Parts: sequence; C-alpha cells; structure tokens
Amino acid sequence: MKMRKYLKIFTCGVQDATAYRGNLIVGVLSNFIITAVMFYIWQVIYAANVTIGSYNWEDMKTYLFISFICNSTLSWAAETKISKKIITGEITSDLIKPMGFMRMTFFETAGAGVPVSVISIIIMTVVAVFMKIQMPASPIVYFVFIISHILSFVINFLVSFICALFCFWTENYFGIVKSKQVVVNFFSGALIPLNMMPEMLQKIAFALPFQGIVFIPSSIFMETVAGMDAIYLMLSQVVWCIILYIVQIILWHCAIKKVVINGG
Amino acid sequence: MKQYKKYLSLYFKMLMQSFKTMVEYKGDFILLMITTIAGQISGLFFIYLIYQKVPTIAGWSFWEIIFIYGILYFSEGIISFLFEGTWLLNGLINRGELDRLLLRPVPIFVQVLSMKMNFDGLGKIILSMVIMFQALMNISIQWNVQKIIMLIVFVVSASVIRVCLNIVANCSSFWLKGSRNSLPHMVYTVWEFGKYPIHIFSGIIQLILLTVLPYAFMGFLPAAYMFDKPIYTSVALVTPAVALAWIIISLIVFRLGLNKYESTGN
Repeated sequence: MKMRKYLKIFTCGVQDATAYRGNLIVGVLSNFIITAVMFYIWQVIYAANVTIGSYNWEDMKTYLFISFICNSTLSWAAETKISKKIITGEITSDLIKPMGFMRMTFFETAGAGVPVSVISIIIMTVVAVFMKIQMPASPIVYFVFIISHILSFVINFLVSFICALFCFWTENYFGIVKSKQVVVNFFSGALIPLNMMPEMLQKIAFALPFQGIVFIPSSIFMETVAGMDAIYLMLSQVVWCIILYIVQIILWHCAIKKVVINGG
Repeated sequence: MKQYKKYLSLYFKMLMQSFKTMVEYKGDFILLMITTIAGQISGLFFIYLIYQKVPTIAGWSFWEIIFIYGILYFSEGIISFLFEGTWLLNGLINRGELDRLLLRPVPIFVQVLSMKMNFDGLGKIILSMVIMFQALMNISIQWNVQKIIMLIVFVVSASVIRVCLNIVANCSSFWLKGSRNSLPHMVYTVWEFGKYPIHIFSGIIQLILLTVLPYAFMGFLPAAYMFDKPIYTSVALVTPAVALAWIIISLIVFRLGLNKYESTGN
C-alpha cells in the first residue's frame, strides 16, 4: 500500500472541512449544546445525590468533557457523505481511482475529523478551566488515551462505513444514518455512562463494539481503569476493529455486485 | 379566500407527490419509522433512568417532564410531516434552483414548504399524542373547561412557533449562501434545552429560551400552566401572542431573504 496518495487524500479531507470555517464551528457548537444540557441536568441530580453508579459530580464533569471529545470526531456531514456517494452514483468515479474505496474514504473522513477534533478540544479546554474539571496528572494516561481515541475513531468509522454499504440495498440514506446514530449514541455511553445502566442493558452494551467509541476511551482518561485492565480494554477495541474490517470486506463483495448507477 | 383554498389543496397535492417518492425506497422508509420510535424510546429512557436516581428535578416530577417532551415532540412531528421542505431551502438557494420555483404562478412560500414530506412525521405526531395522554393520565390535574381550551391553544401555538422558528433559521441561507449551512441545525438542537424546566439553567440561557429561541413556549411554559406551577403560569398566557408574532417575523424574514436572492446562473 503506497502511503503517499492516501496522505494526499487525508490533506484533501482537512482542506474540505476547513473550507467553510464558520460552518465548521457552528457544527461543533451544536454538539456542544447537547453536552451543555447534560451538564445542567446532571448538576441538578448531583445536588441531591453524592454518588450515582460509582461517579461523583467531579467524575461526571470529566466524563461529559471527555465523551464530548470522543463523540465529535465523526460529523453528520462526514457520515452522510459516504452514503450520498453510493446513492448518487458518484461512487463510480471513486471506483476507477487506483485506490481502495474503503481506504480512500477512511483517510478522507479522518482528515475531515482533524479540524473538528481540534475545535472540540479547544472549546473543551476553555470549559475545563472555567469548570475546574480534574485532569489526569500522569502523561502516560494522555498517551494511552490518544491511542484509545484513535481506535475509537476507527471503530466509529467502520460502523458508519458498514451502515453506508447498506445503502446499496435501500437506495436511500436518511433512515440508515439516523438508526446508526441512535444505536451508537445509546450503546457507546454517549447518552449515559454504561455503568449507570440497568444490569441487562450493560451486558448487551459490553457485548457490542460501540462501547469502544466513547466508554472505553473515557474510562481510560478518567483512570477508572488502569494498568492491565486498560490494556485489555484497548485490545478489545483492536479485536473489534479487525472483526468490523472483515465484515466490511464481506459486505463490500456482496454490495459491489448490486451497484445501480442512475444515469450517467 | 377562494385563492387560499386553492393554495391549500395545491399544498397537499404537492405533499402527496413527495410522499410517493418517499415510499419508493421501502427499505429505508421502514427503517426510518422504526428509528424514530427507537430514538424516542431512548430519549425517554434517559429521563426514566434519571428519575430512578432522584424523585424530582427542580420540583418537577417524571410525568410532568414527559408532558413537556410530548408537546415539543408534537411540534417536531408537524414540521416533519407538513413543513419538511423548509430544510431544503439551503440547497435550493445554493444551486440556484429557486429560479424554477419563482417562475411558477404559485406563491413561493407555498412551494418551498410543500416540497418534501417526511412520513415519519405522522408517526411522531401519533407517538407524541400517546406520550401526552399518558402523562396527563398520570398527573392529578384539576381539570376545568378553561384548561382544556388552553391545552389545545398551547399545542397549536407551540407548533406554530416551532415551524416559524425553523423557517427563520433556514432563511439564514439567503445570507450565508454556502453549500452547507449548519446554523438551522444548531437552532434545532437547542430543543434539548426546551425539554427541561428552564430554571435549572443559568440566567442567560433562560433569557435566550424566552426570547430569541423561544423553546420555553413550546413545552415548558404550557406545562407550567397546566400543572399550576407558581411564577410561570402567567407568562404562559402570552404563548398565543408569541405565536402570532413569529408568524409575522417569519414572513418578513422570508421576504427580506428573497429580495437578497440572486441566482447562481450558469
């Protein structure tokens, strides 16, 4: 695999996302609104309780802070872009390019994710200073978190990509992207930390790949898991990446036979 | 008057056309219906989980919050079902497709709003009515004629305000002109604040929810009136006036935007 052409695609992704800067910031801010609402709700709840699950108010603030960052890498625009390519038939121009469609979209999406992440981190750093959010002291935690965060992005991307492939059959994308978001939001820990869910749902959530998107990186950042446990969790992320990668290959082979191009 | 009747029938005819295109993609259509319901259940489930931990949020019980949710959700259903076309405005402006509509002998407002129908909107409307009904059954309210009338007035006004706000937000594309415009989506997202009693938020947010982005009128204030909450009950009575004001605002903004419109040309 020649890296250079993919690197070029990556930079194209960055440029494409930064072309409309105002729009980019507004997009991040709308994500931020949801986090802000959560913040106030939890504040009221914690005013009455000291700890819920195993989190106290300080922990919860950190959780909100970090789950926002984990959750913002894949924007709505980036997700729908893949599906739109399939539906409009734009995919043909990508199929004749000398690179794999999945790899190409991966680097494109990753590129688009970079500016979004940077803005999210900037906003959240300001918030963290004002809200006096506790940050981990050891640099190792940050390092491990970054790796876990990258794995989280890969999982998120592969899930989106697999969902997008279903557009070959449904020929419309809105329903698919929406359902994906609902499921991921619920089972990744973006809505509520997974350890606050009822026993039954926790078991389901831990058997699914989505916990690797928000809950695992957040737990690592908050140091609720450490040492070998953290390594095991990250290994589970890697395993899910591999499984999803294989699923994607199989689906792609089935889907490509289904290509229907509307007009030309 | 006869003219308006004609437009109204035209409106529904155009919506029916878009309904046909929608059911064409059956797989996605069914999925969207399921998702809408699942999405709401996950939203309600969040509130349920919270109330497992605390008995009240700022003096509001579980079913009272659910009622706010119901009204807000009803107005969202109205948007998806009857006014989904608003969301297409950005694309129409950016690609210069508004030209085509301007040439037709039907008011452009009617044409744009009826361009698309999301059939899951009907699902939302039904679901929200079930939610509201359930909530009202589980709360002991002193019912009287006034309250029943006000309930209807509130639900209608809330929907009107929401639809108009959505139109105004989407009209921003007349000025911003980019191929994407996230501003309307951001305005939409603020509804997350509207789901809860506003006094849990800080002062500035409360002010915004009462003025610029009047989400408080779309759920919280009507609910405060219905459940005889102190302070806010009298404010709630302004709701119909606010709805009227927003109709005028949206018409003016649309007109101003249209004056600003210049085709892309090709």
